[in-house]
Amino acid sequence: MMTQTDHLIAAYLARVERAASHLPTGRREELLGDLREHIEIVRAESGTGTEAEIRTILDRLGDPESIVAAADTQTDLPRVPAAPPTPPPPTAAPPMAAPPMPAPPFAPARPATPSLRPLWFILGGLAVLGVLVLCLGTLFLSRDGESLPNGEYLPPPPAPTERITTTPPTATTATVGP
Amino acid sequence: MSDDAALTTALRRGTIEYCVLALLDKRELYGVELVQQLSTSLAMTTSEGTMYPLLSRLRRNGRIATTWREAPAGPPRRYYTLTPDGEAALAHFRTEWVVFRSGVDRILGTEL
Repeated sequence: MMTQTDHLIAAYLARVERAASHLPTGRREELLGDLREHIEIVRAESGTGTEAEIRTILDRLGDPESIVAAADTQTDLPRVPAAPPTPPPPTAAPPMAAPPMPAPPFAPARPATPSLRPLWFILGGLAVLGVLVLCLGTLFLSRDGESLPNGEYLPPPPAPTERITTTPPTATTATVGP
Repeated sequence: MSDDAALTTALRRGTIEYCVLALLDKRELYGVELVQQLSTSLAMTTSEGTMYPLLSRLRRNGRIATTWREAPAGPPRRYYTLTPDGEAALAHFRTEWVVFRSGVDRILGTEL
């Protein structure tokens, strides 16, 4: 039968376990084992094992999130710090799914690149054509501009808007004037 | 995390593991003893648990080792000992630390 103090300890360790869900299984189990051992030994040494005593032991251990945060910084393998970017999918399938994850994104990319090559040729050709068309177009346009009788160079689009805004005032002054 | 807490965390970061090695250089200690000595000396009495991941890494890196011993009362204790690698790392850190500390002291004007 579980006593009140056993419940306190179990609840504490469950919080650590939840916070450490992203750690590799071996590391998580080791951390939980270390903390369990610590609690058992302090409890055995302190004697009475009252609820207040257990609370003190757990308070001194610190909050589960900080302990797991410390575990996150104590990584000696370069691939573990690289894990944080991938976690979004692992939420559904935790630690075991994480290591194989990096492979799939690369695998489909490789066959895709060779098939893209012809596409690049087409795009390149289109770009060259586009530049040619632009050059010819500007040539013709500048010729048109030069051939204007007024000598003024007005690009076609702005002209209509100017006319629309200027005509109404002249029309009103014409009717009001006389 | 408060600014003070962030500062002490940053200061402990590169140094605490060598405090572990130095404590074990004097004599072997079991987990609770080691963690309580460290936390008392470094004002970390509310984060003893954060030292277990550090001990775990030092063990993985071969700087410390553990052996089980029966205790007169209660469960068996796991004792931590310094390995030859750990001794070498500690000796190296001691020389680095003296150079680093005196440089910082000169800049800060905190030389004794």
